[in-house]
Amino acid sequence: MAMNHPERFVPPEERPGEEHAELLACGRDLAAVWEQTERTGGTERTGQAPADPHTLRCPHCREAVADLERLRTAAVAPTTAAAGGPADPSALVRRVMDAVRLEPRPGRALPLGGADEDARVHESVAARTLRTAAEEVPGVRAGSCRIAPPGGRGEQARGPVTVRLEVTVEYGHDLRATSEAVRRTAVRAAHERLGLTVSALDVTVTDLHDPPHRPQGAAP
Amino acid sequence: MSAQGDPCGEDADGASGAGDRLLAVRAAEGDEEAFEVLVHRHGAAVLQLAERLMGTRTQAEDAVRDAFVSAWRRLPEFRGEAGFGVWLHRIVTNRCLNLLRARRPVADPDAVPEPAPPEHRSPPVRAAESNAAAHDLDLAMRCLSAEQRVCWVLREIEGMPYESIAQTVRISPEAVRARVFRARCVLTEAMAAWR
Repeated sequence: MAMNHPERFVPPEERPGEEHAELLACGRDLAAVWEQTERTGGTERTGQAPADPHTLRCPHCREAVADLERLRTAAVAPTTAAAGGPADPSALVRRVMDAVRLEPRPGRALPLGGADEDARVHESVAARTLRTAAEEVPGVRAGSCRIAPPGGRGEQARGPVTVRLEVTVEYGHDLRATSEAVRRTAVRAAHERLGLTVSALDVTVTDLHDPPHRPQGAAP
Repeated sequence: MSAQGDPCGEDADGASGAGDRLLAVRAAEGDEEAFEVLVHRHGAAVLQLAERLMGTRTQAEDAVRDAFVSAWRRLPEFRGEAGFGVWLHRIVTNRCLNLLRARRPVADPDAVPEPAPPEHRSPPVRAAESNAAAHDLDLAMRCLSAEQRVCWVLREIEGMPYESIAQTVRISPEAVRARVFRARCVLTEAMAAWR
């Protein structure tokens, strides 16, 4: 095996930097012995030729390798921090989401209803509604959903909005028919669930994805 | 290795049915529910990493919370090349690195209590022994500099390639090798009582 050939061993004097200056009693560079151990998986691993046959015979090298293996064993044992038992993931999620909800959301508030009304829905909330609707179409997963009020960026503008929706579609589905179904479903959801009128809804298929994995023997 | 085990989550059929990439796109547009799925999916792995780096549960949880909030703010700049998991691991690592740097000066190796040799412990049950060894290791890790500790944990426990550690910590691969080596020297010395 070329990678592990003994001739590839780099003698200590050719290794740059004083960080690698630790020499074992046998004259071998400790850093080189450890790196060799990393490549070959240690002295005891079967079926793998050692990079340097010296390591197998030399008590100093063997002790250095054993030191590293002992360290790794201790390193993968449970930490003192984890000694109190496994962390409660739901508590962590709660803490994170509490902090995230204090952050300002990106996007803007879209006006709802007529000129005399003062109701708004945040773009991210409206977008989530449209994504959820799009995913009611079989084989569809929704990604980016941008909603623009009429007149571009004017906050106060009222009237029909335009939507750009990106989706990925499962392999084997008719892309054109699926896109059309997404468009119809999302426009209807905007009207029925949000009270938003959509003047144009562009659907872009950005990727194809595999069908979900099912356990073997399970009905499709 | 947790940092590279399905880092993209594209195969996930879980709660949302969507992979990390799509969820990250939605979260970047302000969808908190999509972000919550990502926190569920990656929280345990990054908490484990932070515990290794910080040494205490409380500080690890604080670091992970701050890292997730930072990820939420920075999602619009996430391009998805390396996968959300890898990106998040980097944010958590750098958050921990900053906290470790801010800690009081590194302990003097001589000031760390000498670990008791294993034969003085009773009972010599394997599990108890490995816990005691882990405890001695925890003590010895306090002697490491922030960079040494981070490089060593990423290399030895997370199993990351030297080049990936270099990108994460933003130092050269040679500097990573040197720090991992120095950390090993300090720690194997401290574990010598377990020979």
